[in-house]
Amino acid sequence: MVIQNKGKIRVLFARSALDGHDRGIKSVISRCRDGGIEIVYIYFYDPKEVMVAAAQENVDVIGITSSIGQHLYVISELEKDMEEEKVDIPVIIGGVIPATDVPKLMDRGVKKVFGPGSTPEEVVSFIPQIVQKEEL
Amino acid sequence: MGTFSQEAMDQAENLRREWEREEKEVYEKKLKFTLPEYHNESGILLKPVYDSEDIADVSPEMPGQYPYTRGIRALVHQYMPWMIQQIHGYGSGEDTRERSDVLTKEGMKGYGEQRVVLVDVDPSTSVGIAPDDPRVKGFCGLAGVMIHTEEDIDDLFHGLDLSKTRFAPIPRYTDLPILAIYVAYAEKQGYKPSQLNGQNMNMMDLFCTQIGGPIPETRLKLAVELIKYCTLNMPRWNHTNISGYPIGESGATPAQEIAITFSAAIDLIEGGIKTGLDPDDFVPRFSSQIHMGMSFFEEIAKLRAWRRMWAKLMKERFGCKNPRSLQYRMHVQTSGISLTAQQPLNNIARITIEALAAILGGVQSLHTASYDEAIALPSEEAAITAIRISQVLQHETGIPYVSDPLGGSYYVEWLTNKVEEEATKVLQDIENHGGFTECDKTGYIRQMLERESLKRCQQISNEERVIVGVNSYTQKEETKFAPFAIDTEKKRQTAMERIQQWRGNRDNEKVKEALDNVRDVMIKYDSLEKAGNLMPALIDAARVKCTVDEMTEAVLSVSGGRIIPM
Repeated sequence: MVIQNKGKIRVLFARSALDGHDRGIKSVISRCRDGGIEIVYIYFYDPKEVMVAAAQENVDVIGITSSIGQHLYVISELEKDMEEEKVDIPVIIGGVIPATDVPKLMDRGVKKVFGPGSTPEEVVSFIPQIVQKEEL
Repeated sequence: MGTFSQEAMDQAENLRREWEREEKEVYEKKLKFTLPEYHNESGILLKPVYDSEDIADVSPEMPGQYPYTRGIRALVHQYMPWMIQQIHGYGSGEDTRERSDVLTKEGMKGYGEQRVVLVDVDPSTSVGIAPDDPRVKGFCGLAGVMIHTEEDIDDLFHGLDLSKTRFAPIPRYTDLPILAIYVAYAEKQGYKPSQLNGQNMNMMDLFCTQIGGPIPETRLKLAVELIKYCTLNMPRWNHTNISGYPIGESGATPAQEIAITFSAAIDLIEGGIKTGLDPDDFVPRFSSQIHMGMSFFEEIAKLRAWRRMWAKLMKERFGCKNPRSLQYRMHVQTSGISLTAQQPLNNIARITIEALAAILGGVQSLHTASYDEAIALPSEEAAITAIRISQVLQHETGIPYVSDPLGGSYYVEWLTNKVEEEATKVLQDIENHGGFTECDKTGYIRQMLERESLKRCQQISNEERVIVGVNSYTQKEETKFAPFAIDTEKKRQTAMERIQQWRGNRDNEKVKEALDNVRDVMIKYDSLEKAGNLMPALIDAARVKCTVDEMTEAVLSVSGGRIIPM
């Protein structure tokens, strides 16, 4: 067997270029780095850019931040693109996301929604749970 | 205030000693209570009590007198209570007009009963990208109104008397094209630019919202262009909003908010002077948008220190003589960052406390937030409740009867001095690092804010800082709350059809000429001394039906384009 992910877990965090709210994601990134997770942070216009970057950077998890209501649009597009291109990377999302939208996001394949009030610690401890590390 | 008789001072000294003795005997010895060290948000160490000794160096002053610590008018709220000016806007011009009408009916009004169109714009408008550009897919009409053409402006304003209407859009950097379209629209309705009333932002705070934009030098040019054009042509227009709000939302402490906002204002004033204007001609048309957080007394002290520091800065540094240059007119917005998605009704208490601090601090104008802001776009019900908070404070409390009711308070006067001291230190530090525009480029200010924001987040995570309903007093059962949402794809479809029709129904030769001219003028605008020609070129472009997006692109294509710092 092969070790898929040598060393550190790698996560791609992505923010829509048009949503400037980044206090939350900056805190999450800082805490992830402290927790030994490698971070790639990008902004994007088209959700497809997220998939391309995630594949190129060979990350284990994709994290989306959304604070002005674009969450359903971004996730729908991203999951659709990933399905078409057969890219299989778990996706998590955080930000200002109404509780009523959580089931809709989970239906579209999101692994976890970190809505308002979630802490960076919750993200840090959740990520390893969805990263598949194959053993020797 | 430092005029106490020797006898009174001796008596105060005795009482102070007695208090200290009791604190030691009862709390420390008997109850084994060690007084914690309390620091406020700006890092100022607080004493457990204040007395006359703490205000010995406070000079006598009355409201309406220089340096205006106690208010810029003799009567702060008795003659004219604070204006209820609510930022609103979502979806199309029609959607926002409907919300505008509701809020106006419920009590929103500006100076002299003016109609208020104080609107956030959506991301596509904010950055000037047309609705049919794929880059704004998924964003049309979110968090603000779409304004791309004169038709959108008409949706917002049809039937209103523009000379009695205040238009204050809040884009990130499309202020000039939007103003140009408004001027061209008003002209068709028979209004001269000099009759129009409203305001622009200043584009200096773009480092707060990381959605990119022109390089700092270009932003300064655009802001200075507004100063020059409006000073000469639009005397009723507040050309520049000295905005601390996004700085506060990005994590600044109250003292940092003053300092960073002032450092930006200094660059703008110096820019205005370079265009050949006298600060006394344009500083009176600065407006403001100040952030109001939960640190109650500190926020009150912030507003008092803010006015005093501003008056001194304008007088001593810029030699202003016009009293209106020295009097900082305050519009305050209660914070968004203090609101919680959990137990959202608790936010009504938070908004009320922040509004109260703003009022006790002597503001001219107030935006009270909607309690559902941490969850979604404000619903109509929440937006009306926000207005009611202001109205309850205005009519039921008796607070407006007395000017600067906290003036002379040992604690508040001491704290005002301390906040001023701390803000002066931060301002000095920014100036030592090259001033605002330089610190914007190097990321110095951004890093300052990120440190604060991270600190706050950690304090909440490790429960050092209690946020009710978030890390304490939490409820298992989540409040059932139906968020207000819009169908952005539908909004985008309609907007796409409209803008395509708009482009089809105009003389595109003239459009091309006008945009070429905008580019030419922008290329020639190579130093601040040459300000004053871009707005006329943009108004010409608006007259031949150019859109916000086309004008933005024309300006940016020859001045460094858009950058997105991460």
